[in-house]
Amino acid sequence: MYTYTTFAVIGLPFLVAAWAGAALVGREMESGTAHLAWTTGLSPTRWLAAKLAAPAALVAVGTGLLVLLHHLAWSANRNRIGTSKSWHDSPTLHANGPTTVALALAGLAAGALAGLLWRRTLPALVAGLGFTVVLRVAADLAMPHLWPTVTRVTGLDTGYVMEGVEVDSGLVTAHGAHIADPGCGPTFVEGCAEMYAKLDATGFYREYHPESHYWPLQLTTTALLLAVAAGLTVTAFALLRRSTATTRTPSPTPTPDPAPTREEAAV
Amino acid sequence: MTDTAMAATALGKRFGRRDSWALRACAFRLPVGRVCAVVGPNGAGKSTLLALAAGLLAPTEGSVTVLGTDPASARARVGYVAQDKPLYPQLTVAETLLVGADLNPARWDAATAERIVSAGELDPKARIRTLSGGQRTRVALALALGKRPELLLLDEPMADLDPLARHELMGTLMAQAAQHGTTIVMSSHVVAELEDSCDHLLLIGGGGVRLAGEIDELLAAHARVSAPADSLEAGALDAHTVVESRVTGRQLTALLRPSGPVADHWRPTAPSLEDLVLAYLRNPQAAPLTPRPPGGGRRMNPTDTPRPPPRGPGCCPGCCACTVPDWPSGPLSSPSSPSPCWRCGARSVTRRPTAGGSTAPASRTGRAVTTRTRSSGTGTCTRTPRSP
Amino acid sequence: MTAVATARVPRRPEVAGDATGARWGVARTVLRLHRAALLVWGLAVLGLTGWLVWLTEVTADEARAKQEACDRSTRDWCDMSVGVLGYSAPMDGIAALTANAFVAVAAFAGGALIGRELENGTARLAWSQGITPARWLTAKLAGAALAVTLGVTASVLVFRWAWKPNRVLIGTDWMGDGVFVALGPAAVAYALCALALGTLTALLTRRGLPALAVSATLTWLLAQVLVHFRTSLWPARTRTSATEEVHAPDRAWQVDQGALVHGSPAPRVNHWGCDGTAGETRRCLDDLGVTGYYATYHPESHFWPLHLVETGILLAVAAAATAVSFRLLRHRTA
Repeated sequence: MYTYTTFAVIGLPFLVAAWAGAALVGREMESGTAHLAWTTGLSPTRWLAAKLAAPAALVAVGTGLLVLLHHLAWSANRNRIGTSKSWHDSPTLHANGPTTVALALAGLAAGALAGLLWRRTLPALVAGLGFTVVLRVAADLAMPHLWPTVTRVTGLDTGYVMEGVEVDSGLVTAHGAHIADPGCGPTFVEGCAEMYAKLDATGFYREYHPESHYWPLQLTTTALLLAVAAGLTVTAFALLRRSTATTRTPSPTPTPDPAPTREEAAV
Repeated sequence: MTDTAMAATALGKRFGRRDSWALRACAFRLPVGRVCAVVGPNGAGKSTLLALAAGLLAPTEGSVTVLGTDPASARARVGYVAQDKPLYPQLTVAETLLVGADLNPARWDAATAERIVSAGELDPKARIRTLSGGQRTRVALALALGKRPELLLLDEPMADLDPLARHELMGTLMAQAAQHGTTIVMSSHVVAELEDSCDHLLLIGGGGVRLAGEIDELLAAHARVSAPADSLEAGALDAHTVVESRVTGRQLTALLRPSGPVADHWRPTAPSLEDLVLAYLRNPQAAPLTPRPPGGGRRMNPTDTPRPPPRGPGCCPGCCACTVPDWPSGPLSSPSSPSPCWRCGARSVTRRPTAGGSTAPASRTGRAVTTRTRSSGTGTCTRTPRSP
Repeated sequence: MTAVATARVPRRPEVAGDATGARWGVARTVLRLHRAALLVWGLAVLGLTGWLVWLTEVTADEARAKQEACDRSTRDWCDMSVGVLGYSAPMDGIAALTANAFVAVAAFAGGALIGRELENGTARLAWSQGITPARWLTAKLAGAALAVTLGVTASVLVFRWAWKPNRVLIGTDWMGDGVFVALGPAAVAYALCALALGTLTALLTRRGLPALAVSATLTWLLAQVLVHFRTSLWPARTRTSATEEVHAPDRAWQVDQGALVHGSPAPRVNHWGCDGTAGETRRCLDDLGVTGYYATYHPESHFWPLHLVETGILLAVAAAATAVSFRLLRHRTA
């Protein structure tokens, strides 16, 4: 079974999303302390920025550190422990690389947006968490398709080449077309050779990502998740600006300098 | 007993282990059918008292009885509205009233509840979390009144109502009290309003009961006096219980609890309720005043610390134990209206050893009194019972 | 205007004598208050069981065909690689969700059911509307327990139906962490225990969000402890042999295995390192003091005893937590 550390690293983005939705933004909107902060001279957008900045830094650094540690531990034990999971096993794939960090940041943004949308603690918690789950599932599904695959064709007698993350597999015909595999097996299995002759199949093909594709896949998925996080953050700010009276155009009269050290109290 | 709506004996409540008591040694008695105002500074313990009476808190010491039983048994007959008017935010107004009906199946008065809600022109389908403070108060009051309680405990109910709504809801409450004999206990800060509608007062200060009783009686037991400061003789006011005395410029004004007739040059007047409440609130060290418990007994606050020996007019020899040499000719007494005996209330004594009675002066409140005479050593004590 | 101080006895309310009416009224109130949560729960259970049915009806056959093809081609680790993504992993996932649903239940109980009401005063509203605090707590717990029991039982039944014919396709068999719980009433017991612990936490902290976090963490920790000690819940069977290595029978849960050194089990002795000719192996083993081999395991017939003991422990914890909750409530209110 998976170790607790893997689970802990995987689960961190969800905890962050739940916390962001509930305690960071949702509770403040519900109890009115956000309004309190806004009336002390802190504009809503600056409040949100301050609220997200420190947690984002902490989450990024913390999750990054955990991921690094996990990767080091995993690669150290890689070939020694029989139960160590392979690199392409889904939780390990994520716990070993920057996708978890990006997901945590996206979870933070999702929680904050949920808090602004629902303005109540518990619905924001559930919504933030739910959206992060959806995001994780989507990232899992999308990851293999984010980089061009390697196609290997093997003979009918040897079977598939079994390594890496599979994207597609099947039979290759004499004309080079790809068709589905009826599941018979290599030709030494009884009755399969005739079937392949009927199908005019000449080999097995497999599209997959070998281990050399690890970093490209990680980085593209990370970029995708960071883009989602950025999108959520922008949406949150736009929502806040629209629902509160924040001026966008600079006023024509010279405004006094805002107090430079106006740090909000509630983080 | 069924004629007491609420009574407390040595009631105390402490939150946590720190040495700060929200209420300590509270004792009072509220008869049924009254409209009682609970007044006091912020943090005095008013909300705690109401929560204890409603059975939402357990007292740390002492006890409180409500409608003759403990608060838990009387829960169905007591209505309570907390200061923050809690309501379920996710329900609509109509659903909230349905919840009230569901929880009080035998006693729910849907017509009253609907009437209160519709008087505020509330949309029955509006969710509670979209309502303003005053509208929530209205719904909370509708819930409390809909269960037709015998005792209604309201914690600052009018705090966030507009003047019109306040007037109207006050009218509803008074009508409720008049029609069904509901006892209403209301805590509030707007004393001027209370004077018109309430007939009983409970003043809580510093965790204890400072004043308790019928407003008429309390006002009658106090006098506002003012005189030029330089006409003041030493200890002139010591004969009476001084609640508050202030010197402004050359004028001295004081609020007293006179223990005898006040000299005319002091220009005594009856205080207003606001004066009374403010004076007690400003002077927490003044001695409390609570009515004597039912069944007669002396005019002493049972939970009071023992009184220091009176320095005033003294005692009627033979009536009580203490002796003061200058009775009955104390500074504020005159032969025709001597100061009453501190302990037994005897109002006059005649120097000549006659066995007859003497005329008793009319008491301050103007009620008829009866006199009884008793012979004593150096004179006769004529006992004037205190007004009930 | 002073109130007329009539000492009139208030009109006696009509005693309808409908205790059941009152009970239905309270039940209706609880339902009305937690409609949203009930809806989410219903959808979750429906989604889970629907996915399970789809997996069994549609994907299992494909996975089985693939596995047979793989077996025919005599490749190793067929059950680990083929059909893993299609069937085994989702089944494990569903088992894990069913077994771990209690965390959500604990969060709900601590947060929305009890904690939030204590925090924003609506509990006081209910108590001042004529139901005693004890009845309020009973109604809330009974309603939640009913919904939770029905939902989890449905999931367990559907899981058993789905698992039995296809268990060859799932690598972990009945000893898997999630599968073990999801196959019987322990899943319901977990959820009820979570309900009770969430309630107790909420009554202790009197605030919604801290109670949510603490109760979820607490029940999760309890589950981890139980998982860790699961094999000790029932005495395991030991088989020994003096001559050859002992293996646990098929489908048994192997707890321990190794060599006997001077008659007592010594799991750390590395007797596999002894290799070579028969003589060398014998000498090597004698050096280590190996006198035989043993294996400790739970055969499949131990599933129900283990499961029921775990259920019992959870129900006992739930009962204790509920009793303490009621005492605490009575101590706090009149």
